[in-house]
Amino acid sequence: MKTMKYYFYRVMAVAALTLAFALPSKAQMSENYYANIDWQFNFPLGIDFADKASGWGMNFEGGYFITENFSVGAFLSYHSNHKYIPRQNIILNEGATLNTDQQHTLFQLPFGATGRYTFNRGEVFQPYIAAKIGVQYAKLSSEFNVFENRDNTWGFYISPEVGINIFPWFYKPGFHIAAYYSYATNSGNLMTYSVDGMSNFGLRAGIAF
Amino acid sequence: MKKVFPILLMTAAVFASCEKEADSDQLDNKFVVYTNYDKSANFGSFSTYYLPDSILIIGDKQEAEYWQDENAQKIIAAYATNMDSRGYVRTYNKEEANLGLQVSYVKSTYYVTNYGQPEWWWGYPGYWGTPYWGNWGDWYYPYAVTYSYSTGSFLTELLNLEAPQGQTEKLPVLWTAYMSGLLSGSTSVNVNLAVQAVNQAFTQSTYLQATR
Repeated sequence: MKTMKYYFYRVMAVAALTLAFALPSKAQMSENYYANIDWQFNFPLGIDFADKASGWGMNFEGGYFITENFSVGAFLSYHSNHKYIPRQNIILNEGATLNTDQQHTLFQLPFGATGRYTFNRGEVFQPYIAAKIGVQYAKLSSEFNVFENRDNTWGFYISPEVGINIFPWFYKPGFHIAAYYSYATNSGNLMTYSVDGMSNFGLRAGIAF
Repeated sequence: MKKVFPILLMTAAVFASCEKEADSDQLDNKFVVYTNYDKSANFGSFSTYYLPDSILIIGDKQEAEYWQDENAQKIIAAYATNMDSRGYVRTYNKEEANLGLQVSYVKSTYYVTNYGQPEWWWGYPGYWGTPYWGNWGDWYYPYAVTYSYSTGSFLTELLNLEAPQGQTEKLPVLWTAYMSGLLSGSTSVNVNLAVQAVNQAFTQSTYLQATR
């Protein structure tokens, strides 16, 4: 319940912030630009290190239409996924044993370029297909007692996406929903855990400009 | 639109710093127990051990300080019970003992930065000096030790008192157990959890076994 309230307040705060900034500038906004600010829900795929789905993330992107339907732009998103590891013996190396429980966190922060093909431009419902490409910073961390072990990694990132911008009113902003898959080449090692490649599926909901 | 991109960048920067940390409340708050040992040691060749009746406190004082109250005795008794259950016989005469077991409690890391890693505690004033055990010039670990120090930790070292003596000789540490249990901001020791940690240190060290 606490988590749901957090999500609600977070989405409302972002919506209020963006509306407040957007309204005074609408007269200057060109139809050749778009922007999205989203809350996102991420499902790690096959990442045993931290495989619990969560809504601890956001996505920011903006682009410019170089043709009537095709746009290019930039994006940045981030997400945290967690996993509780019950108490167990961890054999660190020959003879060394660590007995503890842990909280794992996988923090992913990809950014780069995006290309998007939008259908029905100028209409209320504007579906699109998109692809993002860039680099991803990812941090593997394990908290146990008062300690933390971490491994910072970098990798190549690619993400296909489908979504729709909805503009119920004559003026922007509108609403945005999307679904994505992402893969990054990040690999890291932490204690006895190893991650090689990071795949995710996720949903986004937010504001469209 | 010129206004929107800077706003997007600012917003992104703000939220990018918002990595959601894991919920530490879900952790069980028991001690973290780390053990390591000398793989070449024949623990079955030892039969007796000496265990002091006090725990050295590593704190912020220059002189040695020992913990000897009822709580300390419960923790020391846990060590004795486990050593006895592994077939070792406790002796109260140091000269008769094959093994020495020393226990220290890190109350403060005030002096930590003054000493080198990893055996920073060996330089602490009043730390179990090698003369306490016999005629050795220094200590040594026959294996790698990788502790992260924190307040509220117990350091346990099992010493081979059968090792050759002399000021040029070093006293080998055959087994170490590092147990850390205090959460950040706490200053009191949960004796029951400390005893559990001692038991766990032995549980995960099955090689500690005298030949019956």
